[in-house]
Amino acid sequence: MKHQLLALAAVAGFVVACSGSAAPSESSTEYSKDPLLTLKTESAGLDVEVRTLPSQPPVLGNSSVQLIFRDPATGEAQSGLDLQVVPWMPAMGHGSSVTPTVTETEPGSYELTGLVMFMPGTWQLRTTLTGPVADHVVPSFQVR
Amino acid sequence: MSCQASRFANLPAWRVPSWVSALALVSCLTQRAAAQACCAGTGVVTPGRLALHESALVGVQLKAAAEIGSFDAHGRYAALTRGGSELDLEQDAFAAVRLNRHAQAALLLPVLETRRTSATQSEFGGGFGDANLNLRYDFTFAGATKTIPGLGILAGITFPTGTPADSSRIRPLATDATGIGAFQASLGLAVEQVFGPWLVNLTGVVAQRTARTVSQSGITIHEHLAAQWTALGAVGYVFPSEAALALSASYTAEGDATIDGATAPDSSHRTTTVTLAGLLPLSDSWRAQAALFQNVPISTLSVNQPALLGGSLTAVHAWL
Repeated sequence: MKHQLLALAAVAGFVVACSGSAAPSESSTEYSKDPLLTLKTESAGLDVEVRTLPSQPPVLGNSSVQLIFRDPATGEAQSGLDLQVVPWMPAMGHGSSVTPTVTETEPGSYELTGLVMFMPGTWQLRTTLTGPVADHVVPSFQVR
Repeated sequence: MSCQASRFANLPAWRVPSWVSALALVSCLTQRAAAQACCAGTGVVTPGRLALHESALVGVQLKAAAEIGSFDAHGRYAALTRGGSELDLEQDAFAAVRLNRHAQAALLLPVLETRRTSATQSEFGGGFGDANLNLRYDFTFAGATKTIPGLGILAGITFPTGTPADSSRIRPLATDATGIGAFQASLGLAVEQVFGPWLVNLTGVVAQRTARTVSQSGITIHEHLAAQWTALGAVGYVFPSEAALALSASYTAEGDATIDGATAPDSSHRTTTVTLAGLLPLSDSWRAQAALFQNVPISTLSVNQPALLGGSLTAVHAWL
């Protein structure tokens, strides 16, 4: 019995120290002046700026994302786009059950609301553009 | 089975391989700790491995794990952000039956629950997970001779009986997600040997999942996760009372996934897990098992993975 208790006690005493930490992001109600990332659409090469709320980069839970599309030659905002967006975790092989709502808040500026990123890790916004420009773009960022 | 170990000299020969169960438990936990509930591929190693003298067993395992942080796509570890938390609970019912002296089959039926919080939301949900069927064939047995170790081949299949996270039935924080939404086939090779009261197990497993096609908002995503490779090393010690302790470490690696035929950058995985398990024989037919496991929270040891710290309690009833 002594050895049996020793076996269970050893299991109970199993501790591995933690290391590393990340400073929590500051919450905000306005998008940052600086984008989280910039990229181009796949075919037309529109410039895309990505910003997030309530924190940038985004954290677990409910987030909003601002996507601004510009013509790379003229710098003019690309308005009138119809965006379809599916959040996706490529490393996990799944998305989210919640589809974000897309609203053009200013010409060329589109806001995604109701975006729920429930797990830490790499999330993609697999985005299809229709309307004046037919294209695809996949912003990708880390969620903590 | 004969055994060279003096430690086992006072034990009936058929009782010697009781440690097998402890190592099987370690192996199972290591596999399942590789990802949180919604994404976990069920372990290829039988949860309730039969010792040589046993003909069948049934068992129940209760598990709990808390998320303590996560590793990003570059292996950088960070603790959870303020307001974020996750607690994974799991209750597994399993059964194993001996097909002949060398072969055994096992079935695992999991029930999963998750409590998840963010800065503004809190949610609890669960349901039936992905069922898992395993086969094990032992060509040779550990301890039978000094020179030839035990050698076994493992094969398993996981059925998508759970609900994937992107199902329309799932709530926003996906706490009722209980499956990966794909079949998973696994194949492994286990080598083990006894050295006195010590036992050593090395297991390698490769797992492949079928592709998934998901359509939302007019967008169709066809993703195929890469093959997942796992190496497990475990060392156990058997006390004269037949109580046993086992310490294991596992490393799982998976390449980038493929989405719509193109490689998805930063989608690969690595996971390093340590597990300490104990086994306590209660009678000839009953045994209790306990284990603690952790995804080691050191940067670069894991990639694209939450870090979990958890434990389990298991009760097993076996028939001779």
